[in-house]
Amino acid sequence: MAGTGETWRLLDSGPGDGVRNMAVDEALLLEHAAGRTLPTLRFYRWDPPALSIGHFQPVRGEVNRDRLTQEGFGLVRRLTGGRAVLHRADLTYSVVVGEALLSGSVLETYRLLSAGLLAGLRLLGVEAELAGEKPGGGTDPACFAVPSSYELLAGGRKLVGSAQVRRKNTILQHGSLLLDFDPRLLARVTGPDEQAAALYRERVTSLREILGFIPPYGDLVGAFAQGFATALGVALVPGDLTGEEESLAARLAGKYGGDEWNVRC
Amino acid sequence: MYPNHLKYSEEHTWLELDGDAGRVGITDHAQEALGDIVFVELPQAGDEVTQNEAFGSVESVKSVNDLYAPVSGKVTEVNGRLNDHPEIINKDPYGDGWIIKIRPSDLSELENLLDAAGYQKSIVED
Repeated sequence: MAGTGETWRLLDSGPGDGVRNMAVDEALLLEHAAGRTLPTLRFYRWDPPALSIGHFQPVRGEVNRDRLTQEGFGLVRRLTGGRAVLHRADLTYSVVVGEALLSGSVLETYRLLSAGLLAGLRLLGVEAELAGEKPGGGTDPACFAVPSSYELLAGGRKLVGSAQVRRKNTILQHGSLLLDFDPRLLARVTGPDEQAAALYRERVTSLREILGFIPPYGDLVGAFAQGFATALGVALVPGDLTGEEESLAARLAGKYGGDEWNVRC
Repeated sequence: MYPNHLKYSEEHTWLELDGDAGRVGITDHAQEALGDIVFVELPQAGDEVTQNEAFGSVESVKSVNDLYAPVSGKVTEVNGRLNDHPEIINKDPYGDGWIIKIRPSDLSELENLLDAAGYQKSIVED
């Protein structure tokens, strides 16, 4: 459990393309693992939109690159596990923290960080619930088609999808909160056919559907920052990337922008 | 759950030396903390690995975790069954769930490993 009174850095990166967004998250992980930075809570958006896919997710049969190009969407492979997420109208968070500060099993850390998301949603007037420990499987290419343990649902439908990587005793967890959702678009870019849209419509929700509107970006960041701070018992201090993180992210952009990484499997 | 005949690393792998090579896997504590393993990325036979550096990774519950070599040496064999059945690691971490076989290049590195009691103590302190 994170100890009360620790100080974390709050980063609000705003909009970025998929390559930049993933390069920054990895730079945060590496610099924190090297002991040079505070634990970090980061928020960002995706512009232009992009499909992010899991570390080991195959592209073939699960990503339609032609349609991504037609839509003007990017494609980027995450360092974290899980399946495809279309970042079009979402708020993405990332948390970077040493295992010593956020101890416990993979499931326990999902549960702890979900408490921050739940608290943030409550501040926005949304009552969400945690999926159970074994919420049922499925092999759909899309992350949002299948709730995973301790992910957030509203009315039984998935609202936030998250994934993790642990390297050098450091955890990077990031996740996508849907502000708006277009099931047909997700089916177009992940599936060979568009039949999956009906399934997505049934299983996925969004803040717009729940609230009837999308709260302004600043309000969202404020609510989730407060939610995480309260749930984890930490103080958040707004900050920027360090010079080392900036130059690391610039170097890592080469990896995330290339087919060698993005189409590796 | 920590067999006495194995050597353990603080990075939650075990080594079972048998002649000049030994099987490597992850501990029961590690498989429990990871949860259901759905994918294993293995090195290839012939690859060189370095003590305490990553030789592969596993994915469980959308979490990707590096696997760290307990000793330096050459990979002489990998457990190919894990490609199709990674869940074997959860079911039998010290038996059929072995991951690679290493021929250690520096036996003095064995001194950095723990016995079962030492490993058990290290995970309580974690």
